[in-house]
Amino acid sequence: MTVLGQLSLWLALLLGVWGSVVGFIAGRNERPELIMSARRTVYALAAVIFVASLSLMVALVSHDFNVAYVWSYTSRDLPLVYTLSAFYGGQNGSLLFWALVLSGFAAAAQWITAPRFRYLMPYVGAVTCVVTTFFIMAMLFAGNPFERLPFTPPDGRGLNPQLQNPGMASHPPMLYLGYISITIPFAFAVAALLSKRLDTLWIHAIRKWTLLSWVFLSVGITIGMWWAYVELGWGGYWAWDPVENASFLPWLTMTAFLHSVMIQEKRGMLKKWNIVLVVLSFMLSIFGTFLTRSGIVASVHTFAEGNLGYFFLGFLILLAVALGWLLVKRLPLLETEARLESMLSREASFLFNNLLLVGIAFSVLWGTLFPILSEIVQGTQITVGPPFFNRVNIPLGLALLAFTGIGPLIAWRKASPKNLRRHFTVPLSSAVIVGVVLVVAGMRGLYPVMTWVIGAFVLTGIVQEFGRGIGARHRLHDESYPQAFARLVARNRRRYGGYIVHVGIVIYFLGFTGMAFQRQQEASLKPGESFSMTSPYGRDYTFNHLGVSQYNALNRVVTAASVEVFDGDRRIGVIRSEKRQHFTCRAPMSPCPEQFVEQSFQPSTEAGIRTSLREDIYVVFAGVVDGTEEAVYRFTITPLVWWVWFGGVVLVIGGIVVMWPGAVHAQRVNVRSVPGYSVKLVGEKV
Amino acid sequence: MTVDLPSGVSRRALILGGLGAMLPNRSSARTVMGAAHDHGAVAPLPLQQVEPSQDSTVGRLGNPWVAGKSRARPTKFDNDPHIIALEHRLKCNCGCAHSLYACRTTDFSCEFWQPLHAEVIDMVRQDMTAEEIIDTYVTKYGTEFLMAPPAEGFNLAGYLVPGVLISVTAVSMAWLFQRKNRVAAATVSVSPPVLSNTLSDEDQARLAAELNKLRT
Repeated sequence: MTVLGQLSLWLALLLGVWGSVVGFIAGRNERPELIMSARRTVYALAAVIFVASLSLMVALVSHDFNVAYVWSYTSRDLPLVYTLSAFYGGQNGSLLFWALVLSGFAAAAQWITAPRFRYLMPYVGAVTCVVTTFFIMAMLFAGNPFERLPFTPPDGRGLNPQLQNPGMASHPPMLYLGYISITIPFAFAVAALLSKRLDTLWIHAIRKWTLLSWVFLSVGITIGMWWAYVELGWGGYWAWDPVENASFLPWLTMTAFLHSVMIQEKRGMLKKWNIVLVVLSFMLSIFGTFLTRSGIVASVHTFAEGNLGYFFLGFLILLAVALGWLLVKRLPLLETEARLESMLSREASFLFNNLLLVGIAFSVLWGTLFPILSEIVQGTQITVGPPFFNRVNIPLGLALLAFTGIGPLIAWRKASPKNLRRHFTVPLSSAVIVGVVLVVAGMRGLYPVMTWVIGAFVLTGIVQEFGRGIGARHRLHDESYPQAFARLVARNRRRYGGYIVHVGIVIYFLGFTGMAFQRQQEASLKPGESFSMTSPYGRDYTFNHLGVSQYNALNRVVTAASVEVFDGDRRIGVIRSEKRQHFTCRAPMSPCPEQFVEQSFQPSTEAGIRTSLREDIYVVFAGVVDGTEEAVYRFTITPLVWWVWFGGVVLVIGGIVVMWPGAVHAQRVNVRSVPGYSVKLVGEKV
Repeated sequence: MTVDLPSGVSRRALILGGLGAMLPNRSSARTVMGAAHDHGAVAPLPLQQVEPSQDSTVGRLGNPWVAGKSRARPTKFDNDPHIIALEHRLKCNCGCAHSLYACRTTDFSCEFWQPLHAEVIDMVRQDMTAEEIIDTYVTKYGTEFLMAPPAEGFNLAGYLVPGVLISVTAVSMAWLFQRKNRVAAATVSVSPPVLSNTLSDEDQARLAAELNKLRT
């Protein structure tokens, strides 16, 4: 099967090159047969890469350890779900996964894009073929997943225990889907530049794609946070690791784009900026992949091997030069159609929101690369860890949160004092009340208090917007309140879905404040001994050590330590934390002869977590004292962790509402308010 | 990578049998073992002879070596908020990007943190202030042992550049807006009315029709 895979890759290379060349030519001279050829090449490329992927899957499932990749990331006793997820668990497989998803998205874009965007499609096909070809070349010349070993080992090395978690089945695919799907909006942007059709139409073509990749990225990042929290055992969910940062960068620029694109649609402004944001998002997604694979910065995620990093660096430089040149050539076609009329307007608030989003992206990128810069300038590679990122980014994040509230409330074009009073009085009052109540209740810490105050402002503003919309429908159409709510959202999914996303963002921020009140204690307990700890809410928890047990489970030996937890006098349950030692048999025999038994990887830790709306009790079994049942525990109590995950769910729901197809009404929001026009003309098509 | 098995435990015993029989709580262990069997895992292990513990109230584990490195009992210094705050600012240097605190409470395979943690405790015992301890660290190991660079010299750029860039851009945007608005205001005063010139006859007719509709 791997021969088929290898052949498929070479065929994919030929198809990719053909698709790139013919796509550009077809876009330029618009010959129907070439356009058709470009389109069919995109489909063929997807099919061939699918065959290559299937070949690797078969090799993984059939334990073909002669294939170096299969040997490196799987073993006979690895559960099937992790054997399958090893497809993208290692560097070379992840390249194939990237090519597979990209070619699938490219084919879907050709298939589902409306006929009115036909003039862009050959170029879109060409760009997607160029990017896919790059990944195929990276596989063939730097990281081939079908490379064979000179001999066939009896068993594989197995998957890192920390990757043997349900998060492995969802976090990497989601993140990859997010990264990869950015290529489609990018391809449309480049197509618009190449075709010189830089009106608002190309923006409409990519709206759903942009949202899709943004939602995938959001889900991927949130699942990654959850995975880090439950698996790594340090009690946090975000460590500003370079690879975490790399996933956050395109999310920030995509978020900026989703806002600034509304100004282009409504006012014909920010055309250059929107192109730059799409291109930047794509380049940052490639940059993230470069960071992971080059090993230029220390990261827990990195799987740097060989010279693959140079491939990505070369591709990035090539892209930057080509796109910079193209953008400069097209600048005259990207002139704005309207001007900013007031700094007190929604356009201005979106501008500042964009500035902050891109500013945060810059500061994260700056902090990530600062160790390299420092090494060049000072000769020492310093560490830029969470204290740096928190110091720089928390104030920026709070300002951004404030703009999340201001944007939806302020009027387009120019806000009058009356408008400001009408929309801001209640949200600002609620913010002040929440601030006073929290300080009186004893909440301390500037940033947490400010987060709650601004959060109250944003949430009240959103509730006010919903309330007014529902009230108007109730009065005008005599609808019941639930009916009015449903129809309000259904008839303007983009606006109200966006508000739901904002609610999700606020919930995230409120959840983040919990980390400021986290409490941690270590204790060693003999069976029957107890340890007490007071939570940030003043609740007294008692942990009673029950004992340590050891047993076999699947491919590991588990040492589990259990504590009985009491909230005051009330028993709330038992929390168990584990140490897992994985083993591999070096012979294809069952039972395994003892000389072939080998420990694989260091023991991994599984935290025991009890989640509630209020706080998480997080128990880590650190080890035993002198080989006895006396266990060393780390107890952590963190408020509001659940809210972070819930924020993610709300955000995704909002994203789905915005993306949901249908609603003729939704298409009318494209009407632009250009100076001189205040009504939509009969039969006008935007 | 091969495991150094403790004396008295053979590899065969471990893999052929499992560890159930060695457990303090055998019944629960057997239940889990049963589940493992269903998945085609290893078979039950015969009972191992286990050395009695020094402390009669605490049983010994059958295979402590699979439970990670042996741990010392935490002292009052390990939970001291002052030391914890300090160790959040120091790097562990275990090849990871963790702070010393995260490393000693999370990366249980790393051993680098132990001497570093001991040094911090020693300095706290000598009544050194947090800044003195940090300075001593930097003098001894260099700034790369800090979780964030000190805000001085070139490193100051690290802290200031993002904020300065954002502020400068925001001020420039406001200034550009003011300037463009002044120019636009001056242009408008000498320009003919825009609306009638920008609309074609056809558009004007459609607009009139729409306005009529609105009136009726």
